[in-house]
Amino acid sequence: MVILGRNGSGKSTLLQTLAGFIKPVKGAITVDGVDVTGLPPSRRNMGYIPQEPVKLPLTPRQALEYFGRFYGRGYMPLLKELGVDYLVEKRDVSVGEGQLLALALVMLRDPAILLLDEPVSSLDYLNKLSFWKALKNLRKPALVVTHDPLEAAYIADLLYVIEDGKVSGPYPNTMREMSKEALQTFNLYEKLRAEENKGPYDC
Amino acid sequence: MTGMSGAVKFLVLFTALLYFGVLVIPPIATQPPTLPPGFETALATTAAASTISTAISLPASLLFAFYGLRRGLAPVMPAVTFSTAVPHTAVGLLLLPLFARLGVVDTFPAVVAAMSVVSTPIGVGTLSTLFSNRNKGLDEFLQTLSLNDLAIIWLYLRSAPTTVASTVLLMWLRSFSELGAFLIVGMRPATVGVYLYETFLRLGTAPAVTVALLVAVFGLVFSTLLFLLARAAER
Repeated sequence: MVILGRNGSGKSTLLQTLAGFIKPVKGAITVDGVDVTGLPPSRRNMGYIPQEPVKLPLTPRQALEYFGRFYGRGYMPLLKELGVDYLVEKRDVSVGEGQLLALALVMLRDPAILLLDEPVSSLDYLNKLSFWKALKNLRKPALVVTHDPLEAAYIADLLYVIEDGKVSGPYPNTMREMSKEALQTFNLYEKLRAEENKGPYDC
Repeated sequence: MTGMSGAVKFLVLFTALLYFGVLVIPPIATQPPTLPPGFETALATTAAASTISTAISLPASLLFAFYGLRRGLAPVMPAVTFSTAVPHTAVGLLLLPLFARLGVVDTFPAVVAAMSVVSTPIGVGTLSTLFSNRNKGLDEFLQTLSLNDLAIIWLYLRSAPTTVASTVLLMWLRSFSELGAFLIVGMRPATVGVYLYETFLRLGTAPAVTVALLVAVFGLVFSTLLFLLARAAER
């Protein structure tokens, strides 16, 4: 699910409220029918990736081992599922790889839903595609907020619009095919596809 | 513009040298170096008390800074940091009734406790940069991963080892240089500040200036270390 909105429309506020960092003035937040409104962020079973890139003070291996032990779960199968198992061998990660690592760490917890606050806004084009591809591989319910209509059209199954804090929709995503065509016009996209020898991304 | 920048650079360099030179050169030129007895003991006492005080105050500062900035307890922060805004003789006077009741006035524990009171705000101030809004996203991310606050603090500390190191050094130096509070509650065992003050009162300027110069060199070495740590943190 994608919520599209302009700067200052309330996208991040909405996600922070759902994640538990802001108390709602009224209403209730439920996950799988369970009211989590009064619960702290740590107990909501939601995976949250903030807008600013997450910079962990650990190497990818250290972070994965730390959180793997924390959740009692091996990380390699998950990394392979995400298509980012190469991260384990890295000492330093780029901003884009950092966001992919954040996604992997969030998934180690196996949350009921992912809340993604413009997670690719500071990533370059190829890293954006890598992130959306990894997300697609997960087949996990995700609420993504973005200000980018092309990105929204590219990834949305359900498309909502937020303006002045009010959400409207869902709107049919009639732009999906057009967004794919638009993305294919970028040489970088073609380069990535050729490098990986895979078919076009179909998020 | 380059010429002007060079001139300003020269002015800054000149002022810095003048600042230190005005403090250090006249005493060196006019006073024969005479070191009265007891300095080493005072130095050792101060170093030991500063180390214990920093070991106590650092965790406290961490918790105050983290819960103040990241967990909504900011309104209570002034209760900890107010001592930076008052003369430390006032801090000593405020501590006096409690210390007198406990029977610890002019003892090593009183010295350590007074040091802790005056150095904790320094720790809170320095560590506040670590927990500022700049790092809000990391905190939120870690919270949703179900980490408890202590684990989050540990990860914050790992993310900025130079900030932690400079905080430790700054707190230690603040403890080391304390005098005001000791004049009221911690004259014994004599710390360097007390020793210097008493040397001046009992023996006059010459021996006191020698000690002051030694302490100044000591301060210069540690200040250089702090500067280098700050530079490393920026990178």
